[in-house]
Amino acid sequence: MTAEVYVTGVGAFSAFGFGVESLAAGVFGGVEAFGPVNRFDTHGFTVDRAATCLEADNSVAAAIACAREALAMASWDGDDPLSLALGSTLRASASDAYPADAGRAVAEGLGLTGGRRTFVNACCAAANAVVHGSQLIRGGRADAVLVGGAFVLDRQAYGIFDSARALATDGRLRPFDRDRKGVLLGDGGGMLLLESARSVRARGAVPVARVSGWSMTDDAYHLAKPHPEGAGVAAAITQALRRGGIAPRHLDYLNAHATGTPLNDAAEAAGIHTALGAHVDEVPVSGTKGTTGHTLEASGALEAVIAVLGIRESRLPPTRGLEHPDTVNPLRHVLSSERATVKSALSINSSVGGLNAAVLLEAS
Amino acid sequence: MNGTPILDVVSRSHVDADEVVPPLPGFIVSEFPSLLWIAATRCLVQAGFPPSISGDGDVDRVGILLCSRMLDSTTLALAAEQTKAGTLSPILFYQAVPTAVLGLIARDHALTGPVSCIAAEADAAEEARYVAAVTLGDGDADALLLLTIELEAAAPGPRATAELVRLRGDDDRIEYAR
Repeated sequence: MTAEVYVTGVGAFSAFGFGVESLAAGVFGGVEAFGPVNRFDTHGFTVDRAATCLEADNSVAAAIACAREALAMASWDGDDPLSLALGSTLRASASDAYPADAGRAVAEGLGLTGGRRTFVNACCAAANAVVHGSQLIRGGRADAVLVGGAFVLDRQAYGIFDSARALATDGRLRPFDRDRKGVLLGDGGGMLLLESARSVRARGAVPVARVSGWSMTDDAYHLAKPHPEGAGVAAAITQALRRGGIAPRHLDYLNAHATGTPLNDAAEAAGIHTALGAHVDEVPVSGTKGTTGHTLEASGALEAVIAVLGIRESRLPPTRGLEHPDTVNPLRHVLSSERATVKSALSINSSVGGLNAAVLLEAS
Repeated sequence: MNGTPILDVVSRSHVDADEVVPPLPGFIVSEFPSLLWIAATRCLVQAGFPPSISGDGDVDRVGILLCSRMLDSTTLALAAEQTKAGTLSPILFYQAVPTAVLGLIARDHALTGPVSCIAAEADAAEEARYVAAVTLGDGDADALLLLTIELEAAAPGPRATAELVRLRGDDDRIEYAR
């Protein structure tokens, strides 16, 4: 009833290109991937900057490519039933398109024969997919689930953020910086193959990590603004750590949502303080959107893959754009890539509506 | 494989197909948020919300699970139209995602549990109950408010439904002031 959840393969794409090695080189190398947007006409927008991937065409194709990389890493032979949990968008490309079409297209493109589910809860969608896949395996309802999501920047998403004045007018995403101006968007996504211990044993697979804890919460505060004290963030962190049996002092790394917006980062820092308590000075925190940009519905998957890579490479990725850390609720920031033993890494995300998700990954 | 846990319905409500709903403050584009908020509020009020506080001082964790085939097709169509015209409204920043109204429902009824939105391929209610069983069986919430909605005129039955569910046999874990 309480089966272990193993990660046996990961795949990713970002503005650094396709593949986890490209992602690792860019994110752990602290490269800011932002540049002028050439994919669509940005005439009339206040900001003309994002982190785009030239090879990316659409989110379905990107998710399929990430999934294939994850399956290859896991040496998955394709014979057993495989389920899919995908974080996806609600920006329909055609008036007769169903929002679940993305999940259907990814499953069909991969020839998956298991169940499939499409989550559309905005910036927590892919994290929700990871949580759901983990629940299916831990509850004994599935032995293998592909989870994740992909986001390819389009004019509508860009326009919505621009019209709301949410984009960083100085052209830099500065997570947790006192001078942060807002977010910058980016292409990106990740897929993870989750397997039960039974499946791992039967296939002789070699796990790259374990999903040992998770939690989802809501701030119950406002339709658009985060709780100013980060109440939901704190609850999500606390519950995920508790499920994983990890005390705050034993958490080796925290990948924050860290969008670079004044309200999000302040609330998140407050929530991290509450959750980690006296150990907040000891837990390294970074916001990798400073390198990749905000990949919206896919961010939970991309950042879970980054956490897995941190465990694999014994390295912590830096928060690029952070030059003058906010002095309110200060954190132990990773300012440049660090060597570290990473046995446990927590990835957290938040969405409009006060949603929060936390996924705890551990070395296998 | 384990069987799907059995859910008990604590309360149930809906908004009829011919019912006229007032706009929800903060949302002007579509009926989607109003329908959900009214269905949710009727259901939760019927269940005696806010929930009582149990003996050990812990408040029950109640989450929300929204499941729909088309979701807010009205706002999506408007966003597509405005994108084409180059006149995107800033209110779409939150109105274009279903999590905004769920956040409002969570605030109004103090629901601090997990909030999920699923794009259904077939029967939204059936999918919602399956995911609810998975989530509740996992212990990530004590109860879930299941919401379904279809704005399409051709969709049969009520336009929005709400069910508060919990796992059968969880009587000692949740107390409602009914």
